[in-house]
Amino acid sequence: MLSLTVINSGGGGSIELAKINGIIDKYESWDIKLEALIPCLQDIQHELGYVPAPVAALISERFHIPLPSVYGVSTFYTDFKVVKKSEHRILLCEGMACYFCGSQKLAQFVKEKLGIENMEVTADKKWTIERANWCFGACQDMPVVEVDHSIYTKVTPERLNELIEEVNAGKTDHEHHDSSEM
Amino acid sequence: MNRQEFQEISARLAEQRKTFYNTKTVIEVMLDGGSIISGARDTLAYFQKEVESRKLDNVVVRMVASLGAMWAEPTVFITKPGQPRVLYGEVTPARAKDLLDKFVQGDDPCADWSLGWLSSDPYHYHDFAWAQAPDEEWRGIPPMGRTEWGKLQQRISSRFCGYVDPESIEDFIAVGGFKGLEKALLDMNTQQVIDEVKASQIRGRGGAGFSVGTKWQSTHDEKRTPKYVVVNGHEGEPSVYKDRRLFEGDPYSVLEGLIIGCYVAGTPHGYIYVGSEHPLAFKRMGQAVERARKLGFLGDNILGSGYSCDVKVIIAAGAYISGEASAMLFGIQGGRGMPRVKPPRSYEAGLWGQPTTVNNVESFNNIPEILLRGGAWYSAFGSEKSKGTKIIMLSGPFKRQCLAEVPFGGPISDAINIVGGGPADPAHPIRAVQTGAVSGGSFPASMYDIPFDIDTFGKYFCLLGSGSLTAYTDEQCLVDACYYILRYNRDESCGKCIPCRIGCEGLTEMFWRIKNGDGKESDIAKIDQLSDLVIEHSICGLGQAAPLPVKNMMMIEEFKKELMEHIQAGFCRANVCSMKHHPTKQLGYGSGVTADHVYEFQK
Repeated sequence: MLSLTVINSGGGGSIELAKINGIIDKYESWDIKLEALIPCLQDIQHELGYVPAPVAALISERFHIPLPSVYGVSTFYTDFKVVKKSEHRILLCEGMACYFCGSQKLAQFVKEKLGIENMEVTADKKWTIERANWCFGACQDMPVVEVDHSIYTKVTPERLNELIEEVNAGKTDHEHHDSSEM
Repeated sequence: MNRQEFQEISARLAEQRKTFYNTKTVIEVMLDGGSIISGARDTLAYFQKEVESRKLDNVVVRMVASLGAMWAEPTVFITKPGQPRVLYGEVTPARAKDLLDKFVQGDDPCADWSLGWLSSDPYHYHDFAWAQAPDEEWRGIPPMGRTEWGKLQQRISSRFCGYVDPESIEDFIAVGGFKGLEKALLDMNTQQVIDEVKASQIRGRGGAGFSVGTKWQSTHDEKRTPKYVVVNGHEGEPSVYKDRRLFEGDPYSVLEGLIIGCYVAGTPHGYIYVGSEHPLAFKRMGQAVERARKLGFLGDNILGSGYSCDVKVIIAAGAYISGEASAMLFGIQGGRGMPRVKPPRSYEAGLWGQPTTVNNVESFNNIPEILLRGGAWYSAFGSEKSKGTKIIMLSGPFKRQCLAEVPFGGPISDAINIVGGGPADPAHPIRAVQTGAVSGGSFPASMYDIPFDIDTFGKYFCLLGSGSLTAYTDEQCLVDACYYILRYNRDESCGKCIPCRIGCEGLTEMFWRIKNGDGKESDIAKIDQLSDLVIEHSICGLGQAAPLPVKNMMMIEEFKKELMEHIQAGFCRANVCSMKHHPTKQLGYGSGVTADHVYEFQK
């Protein structure tokens, strides 16, 4: 077992080892460790926003799963990121109804404003935009946009502009719905 | 808990529930993933705060899960003692205040805001069909069975959605929950259960439409142990949200169906696989399993039958492809969720290489009721080859975006014009409707009399599948839709087999060219050929379904004409495709220009 208390995430920051071990401990009781891999990675992703390579190595060691398997899983599923891409993320619902009724315009708007298309990152590493290739189940409120885990409905390009400006200005106290509760 | 204790508890809770509705004024706010986005939590908090500060002692505020009336979210039921249970739509805190003033504290039922009234007892409705009940209009509020939205509905699978608090196992038992389980474990042997399921002729609700009874028989007959039973609740595609609504609205019925499935397979191991896109579904399902374990519906010697079973709830991690049955099993095993070549089928070699039954959430949800009432009862509904009822989801420019459950066999125009209420804006009629979300084609308006039936849909390269219907009006372009679906499938292809990985890319590129005005007539043959290749040679159902909208477009004259307009005339009727490279772009669309003008110009 690693004896450090803090590990280097490789991205300039550091990660508290105790916290990560705490997450992994929760799954210690699972009799089949392979079944615990994805739930455990979910928790790590939620906590850190990505799955850093040292953490993957730690999971591999504690669960006795080969590192390539852990890496394979964390690169296959869309929920997991292996690098921290940017500070903020715009997640555009591109479900069918949203795509036909507005989200194309929003994608176009983001391209004009921030100069990025799907999966790209701005030069200052501040923004990225992704397509949500599933359904938020709120087609009555299309188009739906998630900005940093907050969900907004019936979003127009003007509204999206406001949202981006608010985040840029550091304001986060606006009304929103937390995406982890729905 | 033994049988006698269960029956006592069940009777006591049912009585309590009755008394509850007869003595209290009950305000029920519907809380699920979709309504929370529309602000249902604010409504709930407002009611709770106001009822407390106004000291309304006889008023109880509680939560139930959603009925599916999504266009009117947040929705709320208000029941006064001895009066009908009235459903109100668009209850924002402002409207909630008015309702408290006028109806709860006053006597005006605010008929203008109501959507209809519904009994508090799901069994009030004969065969769960809302229209069958001999209900009368009450002070200007129609019974749900007489409203446009409600008159076709028959809610067997979603029978408790909107009636019970999904976080309370007591409430579920009070409406008759776990009685199907009781009957299966204590009165029937495994073969009898299978025979009953076979008699119901229910087909899988995940998309492939394979007979559930046959599947159960196969796993039952396998000699190898351990066996597994898995609920596939990973629905990752757009416009599909029925599984999550069932998890969110009625998790205990899913569990009940699963325990019966485990009993039949003769295994103590059940799994529920929930998509990570639906955190609330995962939370409620996890809670349901914990509470059931505490009360003894899971664990050793369930209801004194001697049968033991336990269930694990596993969260997925995104990726549409891992909703495919064999891929999903790899997902549970902590691997990359990629489909494998079949055979062997899941019942021969599924989870950990052992015999496994995999069924959709909706399939499992039907099972308890089928056992209680008999397979023959269930098979009386629906069409000749597709029995029972199906949850449908309407999205896009419908008047009513909603989730509803209707019997198979009716024309699809029923779903479009009655359940969905036609187009949102009468100036833009619904000219076509997309089936099966991203794995099927569309029906044009001229074919709205096609029956709602799994096999009939298949003939037109449409997939009834999950039951999703998305509307297209003259503001949506069919070629753009086709491009969207192909792009989606390209993005979500796992890349394991070459026809899908490269074929979808090729098709997407060709449609991208057509959208930009670079289409050639020779493309048509190429598109057709490539689609056939992908359908024939992909190893999983998702790859095989990816080019269906293209084949559908080639088959249906109207759609093909639209595609030809794009290629020959550079003309997009809906003015959605950019067509920027086509010479006729200079004409400018949108000012009454039709394809004929463009053809004329080209001469």
